Amino acid sequence: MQAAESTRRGLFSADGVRRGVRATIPMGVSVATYGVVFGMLARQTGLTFPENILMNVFVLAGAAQTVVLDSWAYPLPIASIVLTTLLINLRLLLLGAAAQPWLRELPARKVYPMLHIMVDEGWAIAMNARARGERDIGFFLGCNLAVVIAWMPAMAAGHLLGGELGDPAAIGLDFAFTVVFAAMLFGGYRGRFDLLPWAAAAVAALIGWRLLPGTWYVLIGGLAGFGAGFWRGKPTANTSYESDGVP
Amino acid sequence: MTIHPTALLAIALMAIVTYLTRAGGYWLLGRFTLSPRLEAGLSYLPGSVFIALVIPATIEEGPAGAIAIAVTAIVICRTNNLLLTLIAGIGTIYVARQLIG
Repeated sequence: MQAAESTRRGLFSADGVRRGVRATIPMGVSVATYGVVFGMLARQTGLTFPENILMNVFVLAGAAQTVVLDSWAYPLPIASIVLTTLLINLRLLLLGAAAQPWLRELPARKVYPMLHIMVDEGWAIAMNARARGERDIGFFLGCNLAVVIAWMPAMAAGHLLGGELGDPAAIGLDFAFTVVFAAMLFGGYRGRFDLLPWAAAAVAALIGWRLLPGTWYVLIGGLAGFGAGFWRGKPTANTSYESDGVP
Repeated sequence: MTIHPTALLAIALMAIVTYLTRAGGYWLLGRFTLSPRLEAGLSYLPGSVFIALVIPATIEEGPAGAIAIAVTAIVICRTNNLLLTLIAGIGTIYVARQLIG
């Protein structure tokens, strides 16, 4: 990779963006699928179309948004919504940290706006390509851009068409959230070392669910899993996103 | 087709904390290194939150819920296809409710 040395000032090309978008198209199919489901769930929950669009443009974090929908009832439990969002998105700290040695070649005024659209799937594809020698930061942008391009119209379509389904409970859709979360949970299983933190999260959540009002058990479960992972320490570090359904 | 003021507030706060996590890791690594322990702990946050959501909801639903979640787990692990998994999971809860009640 000696040749790439000449790009130390930060190679950032339109061609890189195009290649990043192209590399992410297969992933875009599953992103769009989840986008449709999210749009439907958001509508079923009672988000208006403009609210849903605002949330997706400015928050743009599917997992956290889905979890928050679960407790989206007026009066909105704002503290719990914001804390839950923070807790689920703390993992994005890792993504930004891992990409830092690459992105820092670009001026801060370009990097910080770009970080807003950094999403798990796009990040994973870009970082895999970098491990194989990709240096163009445009590629990083293209991967994340492709995910957003796949997500937005799918989500909007899901919201607009979701009303045609009728009563959600009659076709089992009231249980859809739980199914989505279970799919994300088991889909993210990395190996046996996951079991201890998962068990800690489960036990803590159950205790919180029995003893506390509202949805605080979600935060307690999340913190217990974090604590167990922290206490056990190293073995899992860095394997987290590399093997996550990425081509 | 309106925007509720509290919804706007919630979305704005969600947007702020989310952007802080996106920019924060990049910013921090320019100054400090994350310890492997902290990294390991952070990597468990999403999964732990999912567990915390799934288990009480499944208990509340009863046996039909447990069957649907088992089917969901099997299908996602075998196929890694989200759409197929959702159809299987939601289809199972629909059928199991008719059969078990």
